[in-house]
Amino acid sequence: MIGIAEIAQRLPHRHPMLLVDRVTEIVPGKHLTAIKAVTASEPWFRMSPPTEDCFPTVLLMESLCQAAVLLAVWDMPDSAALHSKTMLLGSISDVIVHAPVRPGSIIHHHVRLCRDLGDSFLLDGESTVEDRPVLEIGQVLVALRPAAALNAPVVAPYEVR
Amino acid sequence: MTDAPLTQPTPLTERVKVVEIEHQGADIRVLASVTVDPSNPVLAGHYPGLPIFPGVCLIECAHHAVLMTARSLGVAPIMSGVSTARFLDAVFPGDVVGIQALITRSDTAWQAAVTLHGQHGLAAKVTLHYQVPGDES
Repeated sequence: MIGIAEIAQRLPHRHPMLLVDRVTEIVPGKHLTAIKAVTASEPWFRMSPPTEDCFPTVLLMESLCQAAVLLAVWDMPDSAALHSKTMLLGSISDVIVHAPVRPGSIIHHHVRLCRDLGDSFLLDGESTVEDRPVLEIGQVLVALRPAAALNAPVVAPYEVR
Repeated sequence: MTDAPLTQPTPLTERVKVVEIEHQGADIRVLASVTVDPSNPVLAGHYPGLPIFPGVCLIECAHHAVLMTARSLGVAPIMSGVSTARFLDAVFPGDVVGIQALITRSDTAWQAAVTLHGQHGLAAKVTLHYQVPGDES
């Protein structure tokens, strides 16, 4: 089992934006399966009294994208984290929202590496809760960029749909 | 236009302000703005020592502009997909983000093409899709 320590070595995200709890399967360069447990104590459920209890869809996307980043940088611990480089989300496309996710759910993310472009990566994946699909993403572009270049646009060396 | 906050769980502590809603046939043009709250808790973790407003929070701002527009029409859209979201420039704490949305409606489906402009220019372009129960447009 691969837990938070190994994940935090590879992702610069921290509480409350570290949205992957565990990696259950990894074949570097190919595919990865990760778990995110949704709890009512997360800050997005701050409304008092709670009126609706859906996990925000954009955070479901972020969580799946973090699993994608983990796969992309798996063999580069520390390079993506904190220091000279930052992992940026360049684009996402063909996202389909299948079902709401509520506190108490265990989300399983399944991501695949489609293309490795050196400092940019194309991936796809889907998320399930109790074997039912809740989200799919047709394409994620993630890019390693020097922190100093943050004002430069993230552009891949090819046409993004 | 009601200024009451939205009630859905959200990573935003920011309040998206809708400035203008213009109907053009079945289409709706929306102008809105939001100021990134330096005390939003997400910034502490995204990233430590280098706070950047997360790209998905920009999508959420676009989503809120659509939800607030819909509320003024008495309907409640449910996000069904995102066909594209491109992140072009980083947005930082305190930045003012201008939001322009074109909502096109067909039966109970809405599509919202949204641009978000930060301090230095275009920060993101997103196209959101919705199911809108009860919209008779």
